[in-house]
Amino acid sequence: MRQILLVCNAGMSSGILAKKMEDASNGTMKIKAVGVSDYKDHLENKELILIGPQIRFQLEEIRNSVNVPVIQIDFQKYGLMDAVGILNDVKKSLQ
Amino acid sequence: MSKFSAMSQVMESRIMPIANKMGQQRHLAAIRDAFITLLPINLMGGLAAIIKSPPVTDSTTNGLLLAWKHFVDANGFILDWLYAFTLGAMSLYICLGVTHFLCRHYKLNSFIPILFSLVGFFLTVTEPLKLGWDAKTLSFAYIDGKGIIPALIIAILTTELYQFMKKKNFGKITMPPGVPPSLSDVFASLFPGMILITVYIFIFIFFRSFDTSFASFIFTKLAPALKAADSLGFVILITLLTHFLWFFGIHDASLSGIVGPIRDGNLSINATAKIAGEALPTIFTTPFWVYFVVIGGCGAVLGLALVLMFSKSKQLKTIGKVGFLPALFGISEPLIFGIPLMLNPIFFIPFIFAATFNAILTFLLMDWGIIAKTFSMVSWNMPSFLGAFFSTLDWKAPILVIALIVIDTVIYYPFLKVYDRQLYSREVTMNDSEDNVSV
Repeated sequence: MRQILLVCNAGMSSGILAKKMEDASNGTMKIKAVGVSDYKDHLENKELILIGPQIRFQLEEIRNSVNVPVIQIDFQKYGLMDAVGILNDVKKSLQ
Repeated sequence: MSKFSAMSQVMESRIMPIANKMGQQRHLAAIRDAFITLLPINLMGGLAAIIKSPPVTDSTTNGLLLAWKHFVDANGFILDWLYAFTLGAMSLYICLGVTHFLCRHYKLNSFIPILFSLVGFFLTVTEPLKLGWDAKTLSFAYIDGKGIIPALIIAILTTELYQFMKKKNFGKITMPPGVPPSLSDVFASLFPGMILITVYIFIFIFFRSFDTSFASFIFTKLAPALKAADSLGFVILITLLTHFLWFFGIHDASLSGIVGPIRDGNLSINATAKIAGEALPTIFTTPFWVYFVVIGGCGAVLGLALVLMFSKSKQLKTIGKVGFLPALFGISEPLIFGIPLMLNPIFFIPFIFAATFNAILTFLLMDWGIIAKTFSMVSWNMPSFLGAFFSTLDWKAPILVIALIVIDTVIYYPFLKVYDRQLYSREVTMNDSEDNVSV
């Protein structure tokens, strides 16, 4: 099972998305949503970090402090909570 | 590229670095995180204040309400006590919380600095009335929202000085090799501790020589500024700034390091007044903001989410379905990014002004005494009309919220119509062209 970390401001809106993505992955992924103030405590075993568009101004800072890929979730897909679409993007960057 | 999107790109490239800097600024970030951590403590204090205030008048005959009143008459002291060390001690916990999160920024173990901050807080924010052998009496009037600023000063001063001395190996005593490292940690903090505590006691002595205290001096000096921050103008300014950021799809967290202490401090000041049976002094509190201004999340989008479900455009209909429930719980990201409201010239006006209208009307109604002011906060995720009731215990408050939702919807509606028509005709043309291909 692959593990992904979702980071938004307080882990609220990304929490909704994390659940949807986990369901959509048919148990192949474990996805956790956290707030930007404590993402550093949740890095263990994570292969990828996705960040919510509302905190995209912190993308570089997060990128510089971890050693896994960090990508920003597409605005529209985030808004539509498009779990399948985001998972497809994830699969591309996990290859 | 249209003029609007060119202009927004320029704006965005200017705003992002500022938001980033403010979001990363270590003190503001620590303050923000400390306030978030306080939630359960504030909640319990808010509950005590609610229970303490049964809506009973001389003409009340309802047995249940009278029983509630009776219970409060008999047990008010317990509620006061519970309040005094929860929401009523906000500054104390903020002081410790900021110390902790600032230490985390410096990658320092926070335990010893937290102890120092606690010493500093007691020495400068509380006041000794009597320090006899068999009875010690302390005034802790400033440990609620009134003492936020001194609490922040102590926390930041402590952590900054501590990390500075630690970095410079100030007063470090080299231990023989056999001494366990945890013990040498304690010794390493010996000199920093002595210096910090000396600073605190000198602060105490200094203000005492002017017949005042650190906390009461700051509070009296800051009173005019705090009053200015509780004005209609300031509330409008914050509402506009917040929504301006969100219009660029940027979370307003970068503002909350500054606005948080004001809003939560005011909440604590109001709750203290409420539990003492006094008139509530402030309007701009966290529940004011969460339940009355940003109804359905930033943008005041709850009504919009509902109307979206009846759009002609398939895309908007879907977003309405996805976004309504989150909006009910104060989360508007699905709508902001999905419609999108963000960087969408059609929605600029309603997005900025719906919430501003809510802020203005609620502020005035509270100022005129028509709607009760807020004194408790359950959770920012509570649906607005419930939150409005529990934060004011005024049955008119949820009615106001429902009226605001209707007005916000009216503000959004004409703009939504225009956008819906645009999207719908685009969807129809796309379907047509797909049909043509399949033929």
